[in-house]
Amino acid sequence: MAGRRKQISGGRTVLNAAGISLIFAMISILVLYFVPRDDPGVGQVRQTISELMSPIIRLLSLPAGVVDNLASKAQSYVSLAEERDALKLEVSQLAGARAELERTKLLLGRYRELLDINLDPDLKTVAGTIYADLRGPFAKTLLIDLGTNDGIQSGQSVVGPKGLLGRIVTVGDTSSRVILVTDFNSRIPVVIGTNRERAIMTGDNRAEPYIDFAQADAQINTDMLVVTSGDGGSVPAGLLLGVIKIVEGYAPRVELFQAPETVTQARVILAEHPSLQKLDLDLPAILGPDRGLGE
Amino acid sequence: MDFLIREFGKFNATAFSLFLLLILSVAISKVRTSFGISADIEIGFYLYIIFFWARRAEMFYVPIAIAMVGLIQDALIGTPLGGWVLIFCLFFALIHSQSRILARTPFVGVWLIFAVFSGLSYLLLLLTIGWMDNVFVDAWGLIWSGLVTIALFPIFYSLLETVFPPPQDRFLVS
Repeated sequence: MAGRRKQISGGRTVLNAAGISLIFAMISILVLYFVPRDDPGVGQVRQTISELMSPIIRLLSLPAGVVDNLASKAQSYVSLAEERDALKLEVSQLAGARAELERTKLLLGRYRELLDINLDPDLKTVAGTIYADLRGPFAKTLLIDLGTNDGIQSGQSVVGPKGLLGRIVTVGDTSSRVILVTDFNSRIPVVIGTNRERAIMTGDNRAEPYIDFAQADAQINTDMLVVTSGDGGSVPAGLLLGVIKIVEGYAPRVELFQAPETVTQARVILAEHPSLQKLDLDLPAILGPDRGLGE
Repeated sequence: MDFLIREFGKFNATAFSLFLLLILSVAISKVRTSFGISADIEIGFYLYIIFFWARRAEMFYVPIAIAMVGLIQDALIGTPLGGWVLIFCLFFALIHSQSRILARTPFVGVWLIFAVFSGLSYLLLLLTIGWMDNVFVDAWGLIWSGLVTIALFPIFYSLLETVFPPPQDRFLVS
């Protein structure tokens, strides 16, 4: 203990820097044990600190952004001819798909009218820039430059160009924290494939979340499409997630369409989902009580 | 009270620079880039600075500054509050308690000690988060983070030594 002490000029003995540090370590153990992680106050402390740090992170992001831009421009120039050919092919394929899409839209509208439900509300979105990447071994979150000033609220869904990215967990005035679908606290109700098997897509901090709580007799195979089910009303129905990947002996995993590392701009879905509330009430009656739509 | 005023009065330009550098080291690992190493691998710049500071610091305020930055790290990453504070403070205490030995150790030895202590810190972090969240997170990101951090230690530590040379009176004391 003597080594942890420091003699000062007044003759009193006080702890030295290592001793003080150990006291802080002990306090942090108490905080870890007694302060609940999901406490709203803790969330607000996190958000306040994130807001305070955001100017520094944005400033540090500037040179990285410049290098990123240069690298992507250089890459584009190198593969310009290849990309042009690929785009030509894609355009011709899309032209065919577009006609089919228009026809499907008409049919879908007609079915909605018949069922008197509105599964796909006009979702209001607001676009923002992801400026901080807080992904690491322990958590998968991002910071987006949208906050209460932009109408953001906790729980809203965040989508990238290719599908669902995650949800808002804490909101500040000018920035919000997005928990990614890969984070181990993420649980998204999904439907799988044309059989519309219902399950929960659960994150475990790996790049590919796994499928949990599927029915015992559910038919889940490789390459089946996974989309949000909208159950619970917190995430809109029909948002793209990815395709099933099966490895023998393990739970099915979802190969995500929207890899978080490639997204710089994302949209937050602002709309409350009145039609989804309606969906919860009406669908059991329409489809029968055994569809797992929940209480 | 006199003691506190005297101790905080020692907060000089070097200490302020190191504090600022420590905050920047936490912030820089959160910068979003689409090039370079995977996002799961994080170079522990903050460990270099804490290691460097712990070898020299005898001031009262240094552990407070380090605990504050640990709290910032916890808040930014989303780990349970106190997780990184614990790691930073223990790492600081371990290094500070060995500062006399470190002063007489050749650089390779210093590097080895950094490797052992930072490895222990990462392990403790893994166990703490596992205990708090009741899950065993994928350790590969952390293992790679630790290895890259240890491998790059000589570069960044030499840089810190160059920018912040030891005060002259230290040589007189030893």
